Amino acid sequence: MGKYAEYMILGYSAMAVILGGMIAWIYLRYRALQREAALIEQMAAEEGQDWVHAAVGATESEALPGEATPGVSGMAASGTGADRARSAPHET
Amino acid sequence: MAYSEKRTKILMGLTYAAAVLFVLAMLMNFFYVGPERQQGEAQRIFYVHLSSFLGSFLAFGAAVVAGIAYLRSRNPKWDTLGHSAVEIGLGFSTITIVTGMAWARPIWNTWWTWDPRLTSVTIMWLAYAAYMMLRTGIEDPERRRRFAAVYAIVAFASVLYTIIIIRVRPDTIHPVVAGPTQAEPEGSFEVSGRIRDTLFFNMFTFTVITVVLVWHRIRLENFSERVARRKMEVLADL
Amino acid sequence: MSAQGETTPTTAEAAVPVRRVKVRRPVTAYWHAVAAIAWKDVRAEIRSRELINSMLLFTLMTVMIFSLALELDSNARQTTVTGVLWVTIVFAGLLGLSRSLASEKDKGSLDGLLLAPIARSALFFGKMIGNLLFVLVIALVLMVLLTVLFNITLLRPLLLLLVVLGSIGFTTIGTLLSSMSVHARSRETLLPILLMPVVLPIVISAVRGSTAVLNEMPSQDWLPWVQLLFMADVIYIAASYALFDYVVEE
Repeated sequence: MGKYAEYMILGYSAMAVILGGMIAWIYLRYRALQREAALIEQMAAEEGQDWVHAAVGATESEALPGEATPGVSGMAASGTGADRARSAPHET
Repeated sequence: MAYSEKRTKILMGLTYAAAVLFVLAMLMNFFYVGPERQQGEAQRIFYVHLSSFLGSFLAFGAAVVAGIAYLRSRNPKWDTLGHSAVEIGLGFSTITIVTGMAWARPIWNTWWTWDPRLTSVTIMWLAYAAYMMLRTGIEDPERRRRFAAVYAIVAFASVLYTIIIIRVRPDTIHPVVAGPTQAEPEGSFEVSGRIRDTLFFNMFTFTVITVVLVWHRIRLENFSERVARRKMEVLADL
Repeated sequence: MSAQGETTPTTAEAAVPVRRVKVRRPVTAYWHAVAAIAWKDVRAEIRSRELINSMLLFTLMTVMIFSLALELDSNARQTTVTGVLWVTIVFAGLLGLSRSLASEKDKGSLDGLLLAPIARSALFFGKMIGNLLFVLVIALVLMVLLTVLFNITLLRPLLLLLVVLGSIGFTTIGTLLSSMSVHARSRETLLPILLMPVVLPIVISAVRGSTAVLNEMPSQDWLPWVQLLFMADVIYIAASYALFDYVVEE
């Protein structure tokens, strides 16, 4: 460790936090949108049925994020996220 | 889906490339290049400091081009580019400011000083933060796009002006590395071969990262619009 | 209130300028429209004195607050007086700018102005010249006030030049941005946020130049700031001229 190493660490960790924050912010919004898209598709699918029950069911699956977007891994699925999310209700 | 497979593949390739480049750049910053004589380890901050400034400059430049293109063509895709670029550019200029502060504390013995360079970068940050405020303040989408484009152009004019101030009044203590006086870099550290290699590699890396992040941000925006549209459809059917 | 009356003058009054516009060359017609709009604002203000009174009172209070808060001795006054001058001009000017287009929009007379058969940029320059005159009146009063209260002679030709140049840049970009912020949800707070970063370069140049002039420094110390201000004015006028059409198109 050389001279002023603590400031270098401070600078680099600040950069890592901000850069990581930007990536995480984009990623988290993708996830939230995928969840919302899945919810909307579920409502659309159950439209013909009793839609009050569909809404309640949708809210339950919303509480279990793992079930709401099966097999979707964020940014890696960015381009096709909506498609997968759309097909999600049919798989479950 | 609106996107072609090919474009998605290019984006994914660029994303992985950016990650690999970033790791390589960090390895170079810490191991390839040695600590500088006078500034010690703190000098290593300079690589990400300048590179993130380049990233923000590219992003804000893209926002101006997008603003002009939007006003000419009225195609909302230009507005999406402008909005995304400003958001990413704000993140990068925050990195520039914070890393600069961490460097200035040991070297200038202060976190902050109203040096022309620091002032101009602060004005730039404030102008684009105001751009984001303007976007949230206008409700009508068409008007929001129009005003955002106009303000992006005006804000860039002020940034250009602050850059000119520096040229006219070179009473800055900030080290000059790039610019008209490239032939002999002033400042307390000399640019050796390894320092130059590392700097250029970092600048290249941050350029790729900027492009990747803006691209992902655009896709997020488009995705968000699709979800909103679909929501209206479904709710209308109910 | 009288501004509403101004937009719909009696036919006898309206007939004369309209005929003149048709007879003269287009360039003259353009500046005729500019002058008409600026003159309308000035006359409205002379009748109501609503804005200028509040701006003047605000100026007086700001100077008082500065004097009391900073507890300036004669040396400190010499170095801070230009800062006080420009901060007060900017904040008092903000009051005028946020009213200028907002009152037109609230009364519904903005639509009338936009429908008028004149170039949109003529409307912009008319509004801008109106605002500029208010700011200049405030600046002049402020300079007299500071000369008396701070015991520093501010009324010098060079300082007046700097004030005029700075005010032109400030009102140009301020008029453009206030025509945007009138459409926002919280326009009173949005205008300062939009305007400050863009107007900061002008304020910095004006303050630095004014300080150099005031301390009787050689011309190479203040001339660059005058040149920068002039350049900034030209850039901002050109940008506003090009962009105003996009702001008001409905």
